[in-house]
Amino acid sequence: MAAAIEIKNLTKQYPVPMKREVVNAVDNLSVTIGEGEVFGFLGANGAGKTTTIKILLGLIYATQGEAYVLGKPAGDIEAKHKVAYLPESPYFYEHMTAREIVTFYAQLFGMKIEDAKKKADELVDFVGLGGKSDVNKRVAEFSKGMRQRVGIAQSLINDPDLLFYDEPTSGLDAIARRDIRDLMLELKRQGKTMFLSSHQLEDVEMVCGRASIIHKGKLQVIGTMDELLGGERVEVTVVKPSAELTGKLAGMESSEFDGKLTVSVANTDVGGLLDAIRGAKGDVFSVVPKKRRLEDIFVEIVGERIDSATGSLASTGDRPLDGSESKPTANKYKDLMDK
Amino acid sequence: MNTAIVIARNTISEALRKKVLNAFLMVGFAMLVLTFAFQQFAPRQELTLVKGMGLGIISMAALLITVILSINLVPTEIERRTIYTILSKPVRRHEFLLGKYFGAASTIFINVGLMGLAFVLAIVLKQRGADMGSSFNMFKGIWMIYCQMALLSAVAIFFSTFLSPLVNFFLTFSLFIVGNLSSFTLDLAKNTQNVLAKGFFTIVHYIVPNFGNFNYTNPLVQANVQVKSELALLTQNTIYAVVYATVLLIISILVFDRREV
Repeated sequence: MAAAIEIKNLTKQYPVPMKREVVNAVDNLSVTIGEGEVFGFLGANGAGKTTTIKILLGLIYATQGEAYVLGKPAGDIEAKHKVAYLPESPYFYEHMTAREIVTFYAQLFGMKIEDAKKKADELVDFVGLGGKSDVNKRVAEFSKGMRQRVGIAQSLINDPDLLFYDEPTSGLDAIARRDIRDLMLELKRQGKTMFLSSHQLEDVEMVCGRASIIHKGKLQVIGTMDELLGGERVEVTVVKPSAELTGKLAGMESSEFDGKLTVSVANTDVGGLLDAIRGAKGDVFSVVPKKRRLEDIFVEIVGERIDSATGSLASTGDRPLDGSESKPTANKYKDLMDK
Repeated sequence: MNTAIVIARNTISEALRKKVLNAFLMVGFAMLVLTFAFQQFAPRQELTLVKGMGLGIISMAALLITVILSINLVPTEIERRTIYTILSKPVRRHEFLLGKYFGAASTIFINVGLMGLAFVLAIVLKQRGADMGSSFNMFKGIWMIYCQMALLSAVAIFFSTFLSPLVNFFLTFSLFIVGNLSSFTLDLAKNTQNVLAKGFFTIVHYIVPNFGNFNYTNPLVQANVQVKSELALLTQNTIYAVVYATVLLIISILVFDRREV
């Protein structure tokens, strides 16, 4: 698999104002992302995610190290013909309508005005802004979700091979978030390479094949989702355990609440535990597999929990293991693209 | 180059919607109308006064429009982050900057042109169609005002690649004033005995654009002021503005190319 993105020992330093010091926004980062891969780039606010993306797009320059995008040095114009970027909270010219904005960006790819307008019509409809009530609205009147949709529309103008999405679902309501997640799944199905920077860990778990966690500019961990989320645990709950059983289970990771004892064991040990409970004539209330979450890994690695209310690392909460929440009921983007 | 034109068109459409610029334009129009209210002078004196004041008002309104527009073009794009989506497309930085400059220069052209048209039309009406030649001659002065402003816009855009809008505002205005006193700075350089002062005024004279060259009001309104070759002077001033603006834009591109956005 050829590399879509290659980052070698990348460092970005900023001087600290009024001091003779520098701070490393990105610190000796090395990552390679293959073509067709959907890669999650995780970290709390200020971890260095956006800085890395800006270097890869040539918006800012690395202090040290090398970065290549689609085989070309970061910022190369030829590569930009095949690249898309959706910035975090995208801003557009307020006086324009969604269609005018997409037409403008399409022209930046060298499209003729007629072709650009046609493309804009397609994409504005595609992201759900082609309705009568929205089509003549200026961006100034748009909600955050609508602006994000305009951002997505402009990111699809050139049918890109590589997409940089920076916090694409941040601050959106549940419906808009699901729509954008559906779109990312559809892009994944189409074989696009995606560099997804996010602190919405649930989205990353759902969409990405591989992910990394960056903290204070340093790469902390990188691996496939299976590697990162491997080592599932199972929680077995016993109703009114006898003293004998409680004694047997002492020393195991457990908690007791409302007369129920919940014991957490590795997936491989669950058989032995159930045998032990049955042997002590215990009454099993439930056996619930518990998957590791990216949030757990993040907290383990970084050693700090970040409050979702502050806009940093979002809590993913409990989720059924059958993944029902992760499967969108209907992927309208897939339907539209198939059409 | 096509990309620069797309950006220029977008810059014009945005600039023409800016309320503050439209306000300056309206004030310019209003003052032009007021100029025609002078009744207490003899007709010839009155016309001289109207022409002189009219060109002065157009120049003042154009100055405010140029400075306010040009100092904000690049910083606003960075501040509201619209530049990210533009430069992540296959747009070279020099295309972006040239697009911004051409957009500004075109907006200034439209504004100065509108005021100029209104002014010339008013003079034609005031003279009841007599001496149309002298009325249309006003366009020469208006063209010089435009060249002066197009050059000033290049100065402002150059500063905007590395300075904040506030600092840029004062610096651009200061240079405009110093550039209008160019002959004065040359005299100072010639007459002073102090070597440092002589060097300073000489550098100021040769580095700061000579905005005073573009003041073409006197030959247009004073019958006794004659220019040897009007065409040569206007052409020379136009070329001066183009060359100076080009040099400033090249330096701006070099600075902006390394700027982090």
